[in-house]
Amino acid sequence: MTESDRRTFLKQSATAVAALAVTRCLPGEAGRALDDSTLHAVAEAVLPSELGPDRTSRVVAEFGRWLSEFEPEAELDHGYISSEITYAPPDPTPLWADQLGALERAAQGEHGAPFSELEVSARQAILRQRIAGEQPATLGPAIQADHVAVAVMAFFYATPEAVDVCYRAGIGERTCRPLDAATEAPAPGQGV
Amino acid sequence: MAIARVVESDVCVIGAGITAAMVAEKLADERDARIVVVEAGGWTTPLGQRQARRQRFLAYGENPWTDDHLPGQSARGIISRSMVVGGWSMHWGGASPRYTSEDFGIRSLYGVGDDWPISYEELEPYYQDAEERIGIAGEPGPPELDVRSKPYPMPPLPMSYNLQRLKEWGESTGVPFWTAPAAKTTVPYRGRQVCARCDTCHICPTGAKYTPDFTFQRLIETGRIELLPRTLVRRLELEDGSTRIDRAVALDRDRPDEPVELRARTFVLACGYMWIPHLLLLSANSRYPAGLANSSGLVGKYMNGHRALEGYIELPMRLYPGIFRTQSLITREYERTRSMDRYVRHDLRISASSDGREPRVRSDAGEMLLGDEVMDDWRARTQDRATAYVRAIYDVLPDRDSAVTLEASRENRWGDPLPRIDFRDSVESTAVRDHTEQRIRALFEEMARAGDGRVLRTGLIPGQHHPGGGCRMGTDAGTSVTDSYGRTHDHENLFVVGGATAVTSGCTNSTLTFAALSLRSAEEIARELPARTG
Repeated sequence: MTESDRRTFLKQSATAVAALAVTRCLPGEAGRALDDSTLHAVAEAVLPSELGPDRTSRVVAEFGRWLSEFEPEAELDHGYISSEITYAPPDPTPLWADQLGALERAAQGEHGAPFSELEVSARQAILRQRIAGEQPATLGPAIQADHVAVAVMAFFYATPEAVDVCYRAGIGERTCRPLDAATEAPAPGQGV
Repeated sequence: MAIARVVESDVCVIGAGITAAMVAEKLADERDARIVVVEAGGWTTPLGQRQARRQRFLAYGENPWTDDHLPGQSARGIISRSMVVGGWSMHWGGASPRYTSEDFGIRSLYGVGDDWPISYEELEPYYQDAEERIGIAGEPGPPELDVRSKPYPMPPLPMSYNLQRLKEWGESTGVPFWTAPAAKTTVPYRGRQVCARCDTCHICPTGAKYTPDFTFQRLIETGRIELLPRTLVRRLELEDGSTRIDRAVALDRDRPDEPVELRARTFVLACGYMWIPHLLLLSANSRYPAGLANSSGLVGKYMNGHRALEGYIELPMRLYPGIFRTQSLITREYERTRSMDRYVRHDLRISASSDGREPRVRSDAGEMLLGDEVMDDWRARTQDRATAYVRAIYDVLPDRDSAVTLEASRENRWGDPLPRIDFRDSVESTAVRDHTEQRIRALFEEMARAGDGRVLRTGLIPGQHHPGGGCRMGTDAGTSVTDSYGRTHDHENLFVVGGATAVTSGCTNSTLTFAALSLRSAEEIARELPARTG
């Protein structure tokens, strides 16, 4: 792997907060301090509808487990090129919990109904008001997301599953796989 | 003052990275000698824990290598903080190309820089030895571009679907490409299982990628060496009335009040381009006020390292990033050019990239994307277009004052001044830098056109890579620190191995060359030791 490949990869991986397999291996307290109903309603609004309810629910559960396993201030990978030692950010749960509360208040204020009972388009409208202004084009590390809705997207889109859904193929990015199978194009029809 | 704990040996190797592993293994395999390896860092994540640490890295970006650096033991300008058993090569990517013959004779061939005191042909058997000890899987290139005397020890990594497509494109420019050699297994090899393309080579969870701790563990388990981790060597001291090194004075980081003295017939400095000059400069005394091995004044000088220009090229093809992202194609076409008007030499690598193909949440028009919009947008940008990553490492010749120096104002916790590195290009390299980078960018443009694509962006990767120098080798004691075996001109029982002896940095990844140089040094060191019996 070239240095630059590695640098790019490390950046993407640090960005990434990946693997559904990780969270399956490390079950924790789903949802932690986040309101599960509102979080689920956010996921339905920001994730692709083709996932369907079951897979969306699974992503939400895995997001919750991932968050519960997070260790604030853990030393981050310093890899090649940089000699700087950096550390994970503080636990974002309080901020994200507040944001879910704010979404509920906005739903009640604008529509007189809980956020989870709004149409997806209405939820998206509320979310756009809150995250559109400062959100850059690309998704950064989920754990550093300024808004819980962005965190859910960053979490999902960093998974091998998201890549397979996009390409409609069974790539299995970053999963350990037989070497020889690399020579063929991934089998179509995987993912969704 | 506490009485020092004395550790005696025939050969004391200071540092426990890949070059130390090569020296220790060759000596232990061939000679009947007591070998002690001393490492300032400790052991890091064992193989059995690497899968779990990899998962944490993927999930949160955490450092998968536990305790891999010493607090406060930092150097300004260094490009990695790894100080650990196994050294930087614990987290290397495994790229293992050789230098080409031109790298060793640029003054004779091109009239720039300096020749090495050895040729490629002299080093070639040691390249082979290094490839076998490390375990390299490789595909030989065309013989006129990729000279070698024997096959690689392992068959090449199978060329991924993506690279097959990119090879067709790359070769449409008339230049041959083949898969880059790598320190990864394609067959079971010396206890290592076959690579499973987990694509996190800097933390290989299966042990398919070589890391030097494997070598040290084997040598320790078979009683062939003693390894002292967490032991920081602070200075070397001379025998009274002699130029020979008598002992290395160290401290046990777990018992810093109890000094350690390492006594040996031969001392081998294998702690890298930064910390070798640092130790020699720290070892200054009344007889050698400029530091040991420094009668030439060149310890810490001629620090070298090449630069790398990268590019991202959009091509009208469908690739699947994530199939085997750590694999790449290489050509030596631009390293081996013998005729040129101005000195420009570089390697060229191609790999698949997801750059510009990532999911995004803002459209080109600046609108926020949510829900299905994100996936639809992502699919549209990956359906029939892909991104190729191209990268050229180009040779940079060092100035004499490209240097490692001690910073009196910065000390570690034990009161030793810390080093800094300031790279400086030679006048010759400065003169051709813009020309070199323009040539490479023009090549990227040409490649893009050949594939009906376009260059998305190019850029210089920060820093100078695969650094070396600081104890350059040579035949003249007035213009070099060591001979071609790494033996210091000033102290007959003091060797410097690996990158620190490099005259120039070539124009491709350097680890294998440093390993080969170390094995050649080991052969010279071994001459003074009895052969191993039984």
